[in-house]
Amino acid sequence: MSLRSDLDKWMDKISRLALIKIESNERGRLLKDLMRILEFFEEIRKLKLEGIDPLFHVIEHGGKLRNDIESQVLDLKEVLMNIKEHEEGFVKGPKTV
Amino acid sequence: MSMFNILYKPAYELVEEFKENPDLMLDYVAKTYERIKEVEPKLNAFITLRSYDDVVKDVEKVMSRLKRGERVRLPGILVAVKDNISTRGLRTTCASRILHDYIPPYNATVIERLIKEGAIVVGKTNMDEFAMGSTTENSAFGPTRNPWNTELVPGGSSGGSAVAVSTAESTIALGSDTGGSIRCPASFTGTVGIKPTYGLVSRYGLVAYANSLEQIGPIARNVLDAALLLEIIGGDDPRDSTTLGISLDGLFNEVMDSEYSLEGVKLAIIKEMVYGADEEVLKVFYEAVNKLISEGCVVNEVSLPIVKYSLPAYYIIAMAEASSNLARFDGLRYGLHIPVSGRSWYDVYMEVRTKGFGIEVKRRVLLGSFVLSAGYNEQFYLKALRVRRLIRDSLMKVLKEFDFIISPTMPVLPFKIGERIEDPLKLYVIDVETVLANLAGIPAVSITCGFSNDLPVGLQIMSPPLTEPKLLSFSKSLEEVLGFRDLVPKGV
Repeated sequence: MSLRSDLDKWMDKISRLALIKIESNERGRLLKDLMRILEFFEEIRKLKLEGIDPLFHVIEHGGKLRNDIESQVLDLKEVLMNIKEHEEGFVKGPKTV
Repeated sequence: MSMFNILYKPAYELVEEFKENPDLMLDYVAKTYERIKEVEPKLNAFITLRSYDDVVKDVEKVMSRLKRGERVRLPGILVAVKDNISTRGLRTTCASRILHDYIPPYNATVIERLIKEGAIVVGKTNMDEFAMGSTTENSAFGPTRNPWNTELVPGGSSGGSAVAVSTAESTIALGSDTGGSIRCPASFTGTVGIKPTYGLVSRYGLVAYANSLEQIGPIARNVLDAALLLEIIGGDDPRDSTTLGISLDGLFNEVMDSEYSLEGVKLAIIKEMVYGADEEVLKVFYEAVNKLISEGCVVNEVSLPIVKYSLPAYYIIAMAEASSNLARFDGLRYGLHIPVSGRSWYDVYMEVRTKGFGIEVKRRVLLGSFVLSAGYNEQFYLKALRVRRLIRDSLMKVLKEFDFIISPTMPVLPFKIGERIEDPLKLYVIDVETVLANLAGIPAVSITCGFSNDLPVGLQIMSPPLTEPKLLSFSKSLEEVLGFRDLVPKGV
């Protein structure tokens, strides 16, 4: 398989993962940009870092809990103002299955 | 210059005058709106500006609160707010087509706190789309221009906020800082910007880009105004589980009363941070360093080789978090919408996101999805997080030995609009000084330390977590020694 078709497959895969269509007119430019950025990331990939834990978050003690008491919620009318398709207070979405 | 007397007055002085004479607020608001009318067409700092009449109504409310004897800390002060911070009833776009018409049904915690203290939002400021950028050119609403020279970028991503403050379109402003987005535009516009310790300021209502890195923070024309704003927005918030439960009450007075002596203050310059900075920037930076040495500071150069991996590590983490945070934009509950009837979820989401996101957002979400994907997660994302730990630990070690780490805020002077925007890597590399504070969660300030070619040069100061009182007291002393505050830009 040629490198070109591998790259095309790769672009299609990340497009599906990100749910962003790669339009044909921007495909070339995007591919070039993404390749250059990945090359820049290579420095990290090459590092040997055994025994060092990933630092996901600078606050490592984890989240905190609040008391389970009723609090103010958003005004439904205001929330619905941003929703173009809704019925009886529910958001109308596309079929998922 | 008479109009400038009130416009360029520090917030902390205006507050005292307004308490004495609340009617002065109307004069201040009228003059600010005249100023906005004059400079805004040249600068494009705002995406959404509130109407003069609406703001006057708010001023009248604050006046009656004062007359009733209510004690508030920011009566009548106009605040410009970056357009990724939610404001109830006021459009919040993140400079994106995908949120072009979005009107939040709630206020961010920081906005609630400002309103409670009598401050008034004047408008929502321009930015790089979803805060992804360092120039305020990546905006669906056109670029913002630098008030020192309108052909140049103002820095970003909080460029609109910094420009509004530097030109007195507002007295203070809020920005957000994920990898330097407050400090970069502060440096490029001659203002003061603070990236607080992670967890000091609530992110509730901040539209998330890379949530483990970002903080909301102040932009002002002097350190004291920035301290006053930070005191008000900071503190615990039950709606953001990452807030640290620390109150900042009294911060402003502490900094105001401080006379932080420079004698014997130990400063570190990390070699890998300044290496590669432009000559004209380094010249101004080292002139300032020499001044600090003559005031008694002790400056040492330190080498931290791991720092050279900070940029790729930062971008991998930021993109990974972005791909996850921006998954919420599906066009159903807010923002750009296409009819759903008869179409699959895949088609609907794909079309909305493809139409709604700009090119830089697409690059980051695509690569973010890749570095998180099966088979690559360990090679890129987890490795970047391991580097993050090494960077955090080594910075903390330096900060045990030294009081502060200093560097230029930006390795370059403000450059021409359009000059770097076509090449993402040329933009990423200018974040080299700023991303460290976000990776490590430590506070960092940018103040002006001099000029080169009539353009401001920023000095960055970093300190250990939760040392903001010390950091800002030191910054105030530097501001006095270096002599740059309340600057009036020459380009407009």
